[in-house]
Amino acid sequence: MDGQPHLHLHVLGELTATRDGEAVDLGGRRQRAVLAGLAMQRDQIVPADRLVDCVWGDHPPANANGALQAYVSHLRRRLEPDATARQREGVIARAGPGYVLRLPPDAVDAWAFESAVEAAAGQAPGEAVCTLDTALRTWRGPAYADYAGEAWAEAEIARLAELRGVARERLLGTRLELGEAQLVIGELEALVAEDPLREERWRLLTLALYRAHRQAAALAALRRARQVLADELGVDPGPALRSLEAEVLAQSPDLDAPTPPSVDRAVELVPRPRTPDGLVDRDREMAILREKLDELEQGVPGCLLVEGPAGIGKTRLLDELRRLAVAAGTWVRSARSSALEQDFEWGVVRQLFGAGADEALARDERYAVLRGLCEVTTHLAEEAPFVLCVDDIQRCDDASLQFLTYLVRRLEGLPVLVVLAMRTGEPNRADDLAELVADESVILVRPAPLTEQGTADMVTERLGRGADAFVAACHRMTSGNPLLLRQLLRALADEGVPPDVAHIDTVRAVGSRAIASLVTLRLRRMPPTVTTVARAVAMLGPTADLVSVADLAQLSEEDVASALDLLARSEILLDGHPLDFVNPLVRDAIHADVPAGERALLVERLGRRLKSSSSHPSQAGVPTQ
Amino acid sequence: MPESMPLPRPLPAVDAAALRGLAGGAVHLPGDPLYDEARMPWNLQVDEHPAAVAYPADPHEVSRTVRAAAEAGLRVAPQGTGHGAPPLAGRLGDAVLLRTSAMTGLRVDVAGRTARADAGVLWGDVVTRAGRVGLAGMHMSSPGVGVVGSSLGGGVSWYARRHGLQCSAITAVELVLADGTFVRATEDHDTDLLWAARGGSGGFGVVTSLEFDLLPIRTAYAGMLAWDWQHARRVLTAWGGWTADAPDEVTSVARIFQVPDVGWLPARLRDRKMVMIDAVALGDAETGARTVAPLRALRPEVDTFAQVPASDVAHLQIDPQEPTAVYANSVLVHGLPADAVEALVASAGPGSGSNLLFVELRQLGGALARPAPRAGAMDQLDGSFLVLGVGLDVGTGWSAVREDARRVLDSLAPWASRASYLSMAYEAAARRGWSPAAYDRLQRIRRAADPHGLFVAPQSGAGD
Repeated sequence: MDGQPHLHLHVLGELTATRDGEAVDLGGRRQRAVLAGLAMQRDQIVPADRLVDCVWGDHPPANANGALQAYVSHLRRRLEPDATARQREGVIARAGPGYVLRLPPDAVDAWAFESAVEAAAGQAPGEAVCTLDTALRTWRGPAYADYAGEAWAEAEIARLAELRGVARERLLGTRLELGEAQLVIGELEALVAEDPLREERWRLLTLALYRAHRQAAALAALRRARQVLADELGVDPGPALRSLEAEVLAQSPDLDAPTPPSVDRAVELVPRPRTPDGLVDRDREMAILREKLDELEQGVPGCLLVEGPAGIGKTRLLDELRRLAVAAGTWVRSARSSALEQDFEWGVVRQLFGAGADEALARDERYAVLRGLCEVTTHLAEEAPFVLCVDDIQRCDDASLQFLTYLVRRLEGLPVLVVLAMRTGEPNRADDLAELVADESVILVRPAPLTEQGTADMVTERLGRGADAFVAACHRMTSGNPLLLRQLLRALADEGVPPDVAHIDTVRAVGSRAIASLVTLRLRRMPPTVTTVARAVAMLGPTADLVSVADLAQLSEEDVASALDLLARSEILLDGHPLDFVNPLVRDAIHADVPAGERALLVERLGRRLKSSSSHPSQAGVPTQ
Repeated sequence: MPESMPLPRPLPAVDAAALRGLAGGAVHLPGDPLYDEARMPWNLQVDEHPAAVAYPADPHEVSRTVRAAAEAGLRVAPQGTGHGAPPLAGRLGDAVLLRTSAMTGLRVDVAGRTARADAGVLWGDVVTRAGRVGLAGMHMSSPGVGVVGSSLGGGVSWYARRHGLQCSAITAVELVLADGTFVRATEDHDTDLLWAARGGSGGFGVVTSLEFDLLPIRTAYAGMLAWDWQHARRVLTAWGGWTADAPDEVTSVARIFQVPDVGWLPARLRDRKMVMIDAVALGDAETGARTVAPLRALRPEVDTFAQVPASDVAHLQIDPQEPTAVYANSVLVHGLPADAVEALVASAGPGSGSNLLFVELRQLGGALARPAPRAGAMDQLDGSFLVLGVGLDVGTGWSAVREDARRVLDSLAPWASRASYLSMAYEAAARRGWSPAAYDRLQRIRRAADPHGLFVAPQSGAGD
């Protein structure tokens, strides 16, 4: 730290600025236009008359240059309040016939975004996914949103939008290369719906469908592409799509994803790298995870059990583990137990090994099966060390749980790291689970509630620096539960509540709601289409994707895509990836909040979808209670 | 028999368990981990243990909470921030404290120059939002005070002498009545309830939203002058004379302030005893400067007057913002002759032995002395000054603070009005808050809206 205030300019969305994390009041739309005009030209000098153009367009006032100077001097005072008038030339500097913005490359989000996209092009896939994902998260809306439609801003807005489109395509393309075919289909559908004339999106979608063993859907996508291009442009698909079509029809091996060490690629659940944004107070836990991953690389096995109440951040830790593993080039096999599959024997094992477990599962006798599964594990570990990751193990089917317990006792010499996450506070039916918890070789990781300092950090991140009493109220009301705190801060941010002492009672009021009702309250204050979409996702369960949600909600795919986007930005849905809520509690809350009439309607539509599912098995929805 | 309880009610069962799960789970019963957190009002002097505390977030949840409370044999006490909590002391044992802070919706209609504020909105929120579009609300001196509670109680703002009471700016009120029904009262519909909302203090329902006029005020000439309190007699005498001729555009407050040594105060004032004058003048800087020139001629030690954005006016007066234990009481007086200044300084100034944080004289008159164009339970204030004594517990106990305040207010008895401004006079008889005709009509409206006395009236109503 050089002691200088950290000034950040945000243009990917409405134009705003922060100084050491605190919002800077940049004044009215015209005044901010000066800053917009400068930021667009990066470190180039912008002539004063061009800035006048930005501010007043065709109708400049009589003394435009004087008025412009006044705006510049106001902006300088806001951006550098501590400097004397003479010193305030630091950020907006006078240069030749105009002005130039003097900010480091990472101080303007659009500049940083551009460098990140460039950097990602030279990175390994795992790293590139992190870079692109992080960069794309900095977008809060269309670039320079306040100046959409202004002639002087048009070119730059379009350029940045194009760059964002490319970044999104590259992100999904890279994840596809990492073997996440099934996981990216929904997002690719959304991309295609947004701009159906971009052939690269159709190419990626087709490839993803093909790799997810949905050849019919892959060919259908190519047909849709052909149709759209013919209708809109009167042209045929370009060479990339045409050769892809030929390869799909020929089932060309070139279409297959790069091979990870795996017996069955198709159901491989590959790591979902996520960025560690807002992960606070987890240094100790992360140190354990890193240590175990390092040991695994040396061939040392281990078993971690991440244990804690709902919302404490177990899944976040698992995500972090996957991110670290991918960055280190270690493969992760993941599964997530769900209430839905609890009675489905070997459900979790199938998620972990896919068809690779078929032979072992076909054996007659339980111990023969367990031995067989251990052999599969051993065989895989001989190829390369890997992580075996199961979330929500309290809902695991009994058979799979028996295998995991069996495996944990036989890890010696196997380069396998077993990581299990278990929610406490729910009745555990299985003795195996109790046995696992009691096992001395199992390392228990119990994420602690956030400290007051951790709470303060999150308040600063979401609302700006909070008054001590405000932070203390947030901490007391959420008992340091990260999920509840995030939802609380989101709700406060939605309502524009400033983090000052006057609003302590607002924190008490909003914070005293349970996570579930806090989410439904926030949802009720969003546009009706968004509520409908959230309910459809909840009703569809794990199979929800853009198409099925649009069908169930009877909305256009464009509307659904933008609603999904808002739900992700509001931290109700996970950002992208398969459509899933940030926490099962949130899903259950939204599910329970569907009014009876609407529920009946949705159930009926679901039923109809199921009936027609014989022709489209991959798109069938699974109704949940 | 107290007027606020006209009909006998069944004995309270004091079992609030039936309320659990309402208001999205934001119901806290005695023994719950967050009960103590939830029951504390802004004024920490009040330490009540209600049967339950609920934080409903919309009228629907309010209605369900009210119905459940009635079924459980409990009463309902609506409360916003709890700045005005003192009159509720000792009356909540069989009541659900229904806190409105979760209702945070706020809309500003620029073209119509109106605002719609839900019951949890604070004046600071309105000031910020309206200020962005060149409008101002008739806000209280502290930005942390709730809009609904202060508006129902009258509302003397910095623009009051020119534009009247905030309650007269109300154009619509939405509330949940004792039977759980939701009503929107306007000039055309349920006019009685709108009339009662204009200064009737509440007690006829849970107000969930208010709509009121904003003013096209962008800037004002505002600031503070301060002297050591040894100048109190000289300054207050001159100020009293100045107020007699001051235009309606200016509203001012004089204070004898024993400034504690605490962090939220400006360093140069800390741990000092001062006499201060805060004032806000509508109009341009030149006119404003001319208006306050006679006060500046008194050679203040501190002078912060300047033309400022209207939104800064909400932060003009030095008041505690964090939840604090304070005692306050007030009296309305007619005039401030030399004898009155003498009596005031003797009871609150140097050598008085008073430990009050401050004694404040708020200049009234102007539009406040004339009936408002819109009829309401309170449509003017009978007095030319509101004298307010405010004390913190400085270790001598609350009875000593109360005694200090009493000495000041009693010393002004010869000039006292018959009326009381109940929002700041917690111990005054409820009847004195309104004209006799308005008081009777208010009682009728309350009885009609709440025949069984479900709501705990905001005033204790003790004696006449």
